[in-house]
Order: sequence, then C-alpha cells, then structure tokens
Amino acid sequence: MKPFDLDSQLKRVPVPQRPDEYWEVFPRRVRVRMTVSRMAREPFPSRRPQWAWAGGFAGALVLALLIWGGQHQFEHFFSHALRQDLAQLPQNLKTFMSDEHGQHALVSDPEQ
Amino acid sequence: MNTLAFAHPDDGGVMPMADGARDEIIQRMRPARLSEYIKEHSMADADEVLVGQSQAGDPEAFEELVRRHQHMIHSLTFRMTGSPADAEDLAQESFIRAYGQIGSYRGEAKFSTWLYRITVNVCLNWRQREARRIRFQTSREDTMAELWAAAGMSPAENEQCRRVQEALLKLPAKQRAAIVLTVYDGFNHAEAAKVLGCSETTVSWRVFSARRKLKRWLTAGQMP
Repeated sequence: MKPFDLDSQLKRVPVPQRPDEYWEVFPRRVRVRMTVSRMAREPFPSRRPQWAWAGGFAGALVLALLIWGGQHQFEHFFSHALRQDLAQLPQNLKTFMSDEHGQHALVSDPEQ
Repeated sequence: MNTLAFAHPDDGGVMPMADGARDEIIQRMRPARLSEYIKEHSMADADEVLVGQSQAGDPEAFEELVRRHQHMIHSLTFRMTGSPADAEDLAQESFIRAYGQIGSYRGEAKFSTWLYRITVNVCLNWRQREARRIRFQTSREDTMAELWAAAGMSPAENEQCRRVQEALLKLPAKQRAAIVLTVYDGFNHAEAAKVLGCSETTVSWRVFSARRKLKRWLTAGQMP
C-alpha cells in the first residue's frame, strides 16, 4: 500500500454532520458553562486570603497558648515535686554527694 | 502560502510591492489560493481583536471565537475520540479551558494553533481514561454505523469506515494525534510539533510508526 492510498483510506471516514441549529446553540452553551465556572471560581479568590489570614492567626494563637500553658504546667509540676523531695530531707542537710561508694548526705551538727 | 510582499535584496527584509507587480502576482495565483490567503489572514486578524476583547473580560467576544473555531475543534475531537457525543463534550471542555487560560495567550502563535494545543491536551487526557473508553466502545460503534448509513454509505463503505476508525482508535493516543494533525488537518511536521509540544523529529517518528501500524492492520486485516 502506498502512502497516498493510506491517506485516502483515512480521509474516507467522514466527520458526522450536525444540523445548523447545533452550531447556533453550541457557542451559547459554552458561554453558559463559562459563566457558571466563573461564578463558581470567583467567590474563592476574593474570600480565600481573608480566611487564610484568619485561620493562620487563630492557629498561631492556639499554638502560643499551648506552648505557654505547657511551659507553665511543666514548671508547676517540677517545682511541686522539688518541694516534696526537699521536705523529706533532714533540715540540717548541707551537701548531697555522690561517689563510687554511693550517695552521701553531709549534715551539719545542730549543736554547733 | 503565497505572500504579497518581496524580500528586499539588500537587507533580506520585506518591502511592499508596486501596484503593477502586485496585480501581476495576483493574476498568477490561483483564485482559490488567493481567497484562502485573504480569508485566513483576515480571520487571524479578527481573532487577535476578539482575543484582546476576551482578555479584557468580554464573554461575547469569546463566544464569537467559539463560533469561528467550533467546526475545526469538533473535527479534531471527533477524530481523537471516534464518538460524536464525546467529541461534543471535549470540544466544550477545550473552549472552557481556553477561556480560563486566555490571559496567558501572548500571541506568539496563531490563536487557532494555541486552541489546537489545548484541545489536543484535553483529548490526550481523555484517552488516558481507559475504562471509560472500553465502556463506551460498543455504543460508539453502533452510533457511528447509524450515522454513516444515514449519510448514504453502502454497507461495504460503512464496514470500511468502521475498520479505519477502529484502527485509528487502537493507535497510542500521541501517535493518533500526530496522524490527525498531519493527515486530516494538513499540518506539516513542524506545525504539528508546535501543537503537540514536542520536537519535529518526535512527530516524524510518531507519524512513521502510526502509518506502519495502520498499513499492517488495514491491508492484512490484522488488528492487535
């Protein structure tokens, strides 16, 4: 088969004809869809930046509160635990040491 | 395409011709070619005006662009899908997409070439939805047989068209696009490369490969 034969065979398949009304209506249908898609798109660009800023600000605020609250609770917890531990130690404790023989408490003589 | 200007002998530029010379050239050109030339250029100029108005937000101008290019785009989408219903859907989708991207059109290529590029991309994406293609294949063949019969084709011609259509649909989408652009729309390989967004060599290879397959399938009747 020569190339020309192939081309003529391919071109023999016609594009289906459509009535004139179709070609009249088609551009209008496209325009309706254009309008719909534009209306669907438009509200978002105008509102989106405001929502984004509001969301970002709220997120940052919540994060700051969480960090501050967490830090406060952390400090409260450890200061409370420290006070409890200190209450269990003798009143005259001077130094608390740790070496290879274990832990030692250096206690001052209350009579001195 | 003939032009109504000569290259200047000194700087290689283009200068307008004298009236007599222009008349002579006009007489030498076949009337059909001349009218095609004038029609194509006036259409391209009008397109540019309408594009400018569309970019400024005038939907009526874009509707006019749709009116001017709808036949061309329907032919392309039909050749790519083989189905009148899908061709209509894809033509609409292509125009909607073109409207959405009209702001990015800078006029480097003709509007019709730019629109072709968008449509080919829409068709290539559609072809990737393989499940849909298989689901609708039977109904599409029936519809086409009815349409061809209504157009006055004999059963033998109808069968021949069905075979050609089937062979075209079996081609990989990009090869099919290359065949549609070069055979049906008369693009040369450089123009087709611009539309398809690839090199001229790639287009040549796709056309060569597609032609080889089509010849094999249509002469021996061996479909893959």
